[in-house]
Amino acid sequence: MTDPFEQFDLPVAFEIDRQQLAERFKRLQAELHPDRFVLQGDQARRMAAAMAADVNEAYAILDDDYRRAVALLERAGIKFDAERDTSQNIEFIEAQIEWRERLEEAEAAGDREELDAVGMELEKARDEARSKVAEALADPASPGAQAKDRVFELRFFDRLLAELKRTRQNLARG
Amino acid sequence: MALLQITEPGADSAPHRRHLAAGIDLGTTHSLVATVRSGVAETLPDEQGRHILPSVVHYAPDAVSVGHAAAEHAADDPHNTIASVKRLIGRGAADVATLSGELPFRLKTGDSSVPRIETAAGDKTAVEVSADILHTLRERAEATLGDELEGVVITVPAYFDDPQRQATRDAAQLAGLNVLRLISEPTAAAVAYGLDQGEESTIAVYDLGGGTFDISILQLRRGVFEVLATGGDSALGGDDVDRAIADWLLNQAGMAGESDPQRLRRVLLAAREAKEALTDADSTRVEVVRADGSIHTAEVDRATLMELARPLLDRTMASCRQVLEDADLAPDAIDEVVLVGGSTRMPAVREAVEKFFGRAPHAGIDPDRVVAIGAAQQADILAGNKPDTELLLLDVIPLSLGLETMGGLVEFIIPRNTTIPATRAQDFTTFKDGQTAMSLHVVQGERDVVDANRSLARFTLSGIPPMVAGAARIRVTFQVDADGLLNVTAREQTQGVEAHIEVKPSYGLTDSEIEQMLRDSASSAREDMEARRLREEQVEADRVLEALDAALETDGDRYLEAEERQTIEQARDALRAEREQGADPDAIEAARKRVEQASEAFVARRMNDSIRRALAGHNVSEYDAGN
Repeated sequence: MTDPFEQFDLPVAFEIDRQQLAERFKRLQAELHPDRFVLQGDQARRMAAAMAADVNEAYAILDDDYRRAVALLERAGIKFDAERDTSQNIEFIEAQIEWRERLEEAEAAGDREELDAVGMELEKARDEARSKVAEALADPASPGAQAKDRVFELRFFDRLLAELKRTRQNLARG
Repeated sequence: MALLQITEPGADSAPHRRHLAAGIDLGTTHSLVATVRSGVAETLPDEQGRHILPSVVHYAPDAVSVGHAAAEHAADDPHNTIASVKRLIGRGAADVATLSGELPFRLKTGDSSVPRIETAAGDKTAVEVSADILHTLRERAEATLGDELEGVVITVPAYFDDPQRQATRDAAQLAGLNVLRLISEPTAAAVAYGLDQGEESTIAVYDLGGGTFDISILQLRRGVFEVLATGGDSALGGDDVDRAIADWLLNQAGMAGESDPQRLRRVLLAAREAKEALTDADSTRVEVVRADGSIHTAEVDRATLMELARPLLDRTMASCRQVLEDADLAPDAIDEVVLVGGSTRMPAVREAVEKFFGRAPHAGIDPDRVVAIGAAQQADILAGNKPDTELLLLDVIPLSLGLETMGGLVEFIIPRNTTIPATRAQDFTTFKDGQTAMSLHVVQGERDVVDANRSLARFTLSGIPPMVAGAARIRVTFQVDADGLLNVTAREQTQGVEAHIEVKPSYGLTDSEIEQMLRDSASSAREDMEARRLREEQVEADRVLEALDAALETDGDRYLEAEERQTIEQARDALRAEREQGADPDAIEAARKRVEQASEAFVARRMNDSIRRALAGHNVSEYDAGN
């Protein structure tokens, strides 16, 4: 698949103009969506569907801080295996365990207020992690030495926040 | 059959040809068909002027009736009168077992994984019953419009999973309809009110029908409708209000223990009439006949109705609260509220909805017809009747798709709310030395444990070259098309062994079963299968010719060397000749395939260029806007 930045003709950088991204997405879909080709035969429809799927995927990557950061690392030649690689930073591993324990305790107690409190702190920590990623990727052609670890940290907070949201919904359902 | 317009190369006849298209609301209790005429979307009535077609089919040994005529048999021939078939479509034997107590007809789960309904006309699947309803709507539309429909948009509930969508598509195919798109019912309702024109908004669609209640929270973001959450109650609706009023009337008349079915039916009818009268009037008078022939006259006013409807409304509001919690939203985060379903005509419903969401709901369009109207508008655009419109309806996949991994857990490949069409791939490996086959189990749902999700399909990739555990690289690709239908391919990367499955869900119908049904079905018995196939090939050939001529006219010089152009034109002329000779579907198909092959690079160049132009054009406008 094409490089997402090239696909959207956007400057290769971690910070992107979301408004511009959104408008280009709409414009590309307006050209390529298979709906545009419903009456033009199977072949055109199939080709359009493949291209539209590419655009959707590129958009999903560019629209997400973590995935965009990974794309930048890969462009810079830094291998990143999302499934196998993990952070090697002992301090952060300890911090992760602590966050998880707090969340699990609040969940076990069914304490919604505590969950909300942890959620606010997590959001803050996530924003900090994002800033550090932006810093490490300030020059996307040569990411800082810590870039990979920073991206792992961002991923950790994103995943934990998603888990927290599910937990809250499950509690709300009773 | 209609005379075909043959487009001469360079002639500019294409833009003037209007493509007939319709929107279909295939509902649990009733269905409608709508189309855009003179720029206005409207539902189409039958010969008696009735717009609503009850979703009921009656099977006699040698006759099928659909709609009002079928509904008349509900009392005298319940086993052969099939209603609410939408509750069964795309469902397997296990799902259906839990429903069978509620359904009046006889179900047979027998040898096939697809449950069948026993009728006097033989065993019927939900797909076939739905096809009979769709066929009636197709005939109505074609009789009104005077020609064949080129395509339809059919609505499905937002929560319909892959098998249910696939089964709906199969039913359309059986009814001889070309499906341009399946869109979700709440999305269609939002489109009818033009809410898709906005930039970003959060929309609640409150759909209270006769027997079902659905609440959906949609988010429109960058032209994409995401379904944030759906909920409701499949056994709650306006019929419950009728029963509540009837009970009240029986109490008033001192007939609390009444058991005569005929008298009870009359009271229920009177209750419904009173409810409908109170939509416009503040109070109404009702007469109830007692067993001894004496008449009790009751005065029902809006306050009484409100009180009787209260428990029902409270239950719908509880569902609303629930979906808002699921979507992680407060009621005041909702920007727009849309009412769907006949029962939302009751002023009590409107008041309750307005109070809950803190804003007046959209209610200008007939709530029975609003879904069909939105579908018709979308069909009109998709059929190419509005070439200048920028409007594009992007959908998301409603439920996550994944694969079973070790320990009965799910690895999600495409998460819910991913914009479609979508393609995602993930690599897996073998876990035993010398393993030569891998079985894949495709599931849909949000739970981490396989058993809690819907099983879609199982297939096996075999012929993997023996290697040590973990050395093989098997890439599994999930492709979801614009309708949300899934295709899965598995490919061993080092040797290129491939296995592929179009996800015909575990309890879906196979292609050969569909083909058999096409042969058997009442709808196609009247049409010769060969003639039908020929017509389909002719229509497809015309599409290809029309599109190619237009493309050559505008872009031929820009993208084609003289030699390439000649090859394409030769193939095109051969197709046109075959098309005009017009008797052999195989020959037309072969000629069309040759055209597609010859023009593949041309089509790709044009698409790539349209991407380039889309971006370039945009840069200019952004620049102009001072960005």
